[in-house]
Amino acid sequence: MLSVEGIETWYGAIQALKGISLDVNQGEIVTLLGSNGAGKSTTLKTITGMLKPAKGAVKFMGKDITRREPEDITEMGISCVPEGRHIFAGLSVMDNLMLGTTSWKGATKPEIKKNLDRVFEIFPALSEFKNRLGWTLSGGQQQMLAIGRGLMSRPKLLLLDEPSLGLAPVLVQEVFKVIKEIQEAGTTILLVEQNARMALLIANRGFVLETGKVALTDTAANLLNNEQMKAHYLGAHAHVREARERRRPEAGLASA
Amino acid sequence: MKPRTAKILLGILLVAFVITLPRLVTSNYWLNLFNLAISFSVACLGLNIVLGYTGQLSLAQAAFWGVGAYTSALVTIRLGWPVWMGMLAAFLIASLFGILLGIPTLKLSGHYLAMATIGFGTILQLILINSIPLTNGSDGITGIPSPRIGPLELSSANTFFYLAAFCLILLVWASMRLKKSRVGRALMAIRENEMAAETIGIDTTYFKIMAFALSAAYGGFAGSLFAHSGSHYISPDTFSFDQSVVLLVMMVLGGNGSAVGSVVGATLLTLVPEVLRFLKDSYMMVYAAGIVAIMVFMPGGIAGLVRSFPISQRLIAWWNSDDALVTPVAVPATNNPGPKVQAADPSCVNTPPKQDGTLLTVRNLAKYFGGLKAVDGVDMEIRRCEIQALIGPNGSGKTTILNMLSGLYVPTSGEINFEGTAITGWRPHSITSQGMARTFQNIRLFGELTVLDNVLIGQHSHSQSGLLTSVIQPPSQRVEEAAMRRKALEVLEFVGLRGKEFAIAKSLPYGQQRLLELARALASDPKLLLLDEPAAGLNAAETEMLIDLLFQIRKKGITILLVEHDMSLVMNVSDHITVLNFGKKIAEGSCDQISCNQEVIDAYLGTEHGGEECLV
Repeated sequence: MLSVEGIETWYGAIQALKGISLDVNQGEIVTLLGSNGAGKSTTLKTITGMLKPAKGAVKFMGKDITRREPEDITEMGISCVPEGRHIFAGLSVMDNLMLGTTSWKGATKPEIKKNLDRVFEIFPALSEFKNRLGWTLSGGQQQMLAIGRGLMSRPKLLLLDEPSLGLAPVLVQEVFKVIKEIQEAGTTILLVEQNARMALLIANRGFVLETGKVALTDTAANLLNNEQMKAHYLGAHAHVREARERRRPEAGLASA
Repeated sequence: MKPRTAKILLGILLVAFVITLPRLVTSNYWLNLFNLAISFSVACLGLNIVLGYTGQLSLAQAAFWGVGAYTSALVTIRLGWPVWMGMLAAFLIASLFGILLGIPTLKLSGHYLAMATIGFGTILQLILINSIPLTNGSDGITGIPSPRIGPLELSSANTFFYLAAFCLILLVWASMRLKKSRVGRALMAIRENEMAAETIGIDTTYFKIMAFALSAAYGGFAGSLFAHSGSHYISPDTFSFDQSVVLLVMMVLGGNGSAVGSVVGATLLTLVPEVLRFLKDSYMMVYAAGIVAIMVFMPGGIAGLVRSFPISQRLIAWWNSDDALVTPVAVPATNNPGPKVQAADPSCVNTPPKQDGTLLTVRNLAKYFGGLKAVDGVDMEIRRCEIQALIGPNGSGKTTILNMLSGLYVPTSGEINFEGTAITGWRPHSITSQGMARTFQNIRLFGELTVLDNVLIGQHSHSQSGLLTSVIQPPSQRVEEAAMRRKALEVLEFVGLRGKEFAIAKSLPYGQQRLLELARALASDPKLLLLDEPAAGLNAAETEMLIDLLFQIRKKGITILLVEHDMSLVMNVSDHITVLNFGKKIAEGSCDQISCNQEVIDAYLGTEHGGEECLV
């Protein structure tokens, strides 16, 4: 569905992406993992046309979208939920959602209504708050709104940039559950996450980026068992029981 | 050649230039233009302090210029004071008017501030026009005397030029020194992020008024230079809003924040129209088109353009290489007035911490936003030397509590007691100087400043240099500055950012920006450190490093209150956990107690992090 072929993206004199290739098939959840500065968000921005690559190509449903403008790319069916939510703080929840339909050309009112009901079905809290202003929502509610807004254009491919950032553990589980539901309802998903373990639990495949290159790619199940992954990306998110072992006075003192 | 030699050489060249210029350019017309350019330059230097350094847009500079011109003219004509006293009076009276403008505009920012300053400037101009008995109204004042040095009267354009050029050099030098001092850093911190500046211990009210006063004082002095030269005639129509805009254009064209740039901009825009006069009717059009082109192609102004060349960056680095950072001024071992470096509380350096007494007590704390009860009657105690975590669902009031503790919100009710002092309702900078520092959920750094400056600003609350010492730089100031720099490097070393001192804060990768914010907070020598989601956006390996760092911070005797969602971090480091839901406390206790609490599991932890092992 989406194929990224050797893209190289620069910020001024700094090369952020050094030839990244990846592919997403229809109906999959593919996750993009890696440290801060590895190039995950840059990859998303290059796909959505916010950044233009110096080299390489991005193809979506067989069409080359490499240097197209972001609004055209959204219209073709790629919707991005940016890191840090970026909801319209001064507008109501309803207005935020309706703005999500901007790129859905020729939508009729009943169609939009139907899609809105579907979003409210996924996020019941949003229908409860539909008249509240964006900034009055808590962080978790804002994240729900951002994902909801992303779904309002009925995307074929949904890009999610760190949807679990700053959310309570129960909500993190909730968000991942919702992502899985969205996929099961037929939307393909490319997911960027710091919470590698949770992401791999719902994903089909994963790509691990390091300093602008793909360092590792495999099925999610294999990545979960990969020793390298355990050491670098799954460490601190290992089960609390292990963590608490290390916290016991003797062990704690040694590590401190 | 050493930078020091170069600086002396440049000084000599500058003096030589000033001496020879009136001999090369003998035309009175051009010399008067130079004098006018100097007056504009000084006014722009003032604007540069309030807008360039502090980030407050003022469109009243021409009005202060007028206040200075009239003050100086009136006291010399009516009271018969000597001109140098007139100039001093212009400086002081204008700064009083600056304070007058500064106070009501404190609550304003952006275009509202700009509009208020336009109004202020217009009112001042109207007063000049209508106070006929004092100012002669629209007729203006003629026959303003020339300054004298002993028997010598500086009545000709070339003799006045020497005096004006001397004053200009002095004022540029003062501006540049100010920028690199404690006061200058405080002003720039306000420009970069006012909320962060206040919470790191800067009294933003005081420094904003200071910036307005200083800017007006420069403007007033510039007006005095204008009144006593050229035609020796002033009238109110010169000091209009239009003129304020021209001054603004000069300053921005020269380069926002650059003192030398202000002078270059003012000089260019005074002289270029004269050069273009051969174009006859179309000369103003060419001039205006030129300004538009410069602003479009050089958004950073002339100074910004010059700085962007790699060679000038190397030159600047070399130029600064002999300052106190590289060769610290010798500090006497005893009686060091600089910031303390030792642990905030030596009694709890050993881990596990001795549980001796309470550092912070919160009683019945509440904050309502309209009908929304964000925090609704919370009691909390933070014991010395512990790492305490505050967890709860999004919207449960955690950040609101941090904001009340650090003074950003005034509680609706309840009390906060820090080390026996009731700090409820104090302003953030006062709370910081009591020994509480914080970081923010969305990183709030001083983005355009260097890493080193960020950490130096962190030490603001326990350093002393004021405006005068910042400019004059007596030995005490140098000793303090050197000690602050050493301490800054220590803190950077501690969080692992040593070697990045001169990087621009916003250019750091995300994880390092978090570390820098932590370093800035640590630099204020806090007893209590409030951390708002320090692990957000960090991956597993970076979180591990943060955990180690938190233990080391506690080892230094600093108590930590942590708001965090990453349970691997919370359960690893916390000595005590408080859980909130809907603004109320629902549980508190050790990690084990919390992870076995059914209410907490239902509201917050979910099955992932709690439950299963509690059956035993």
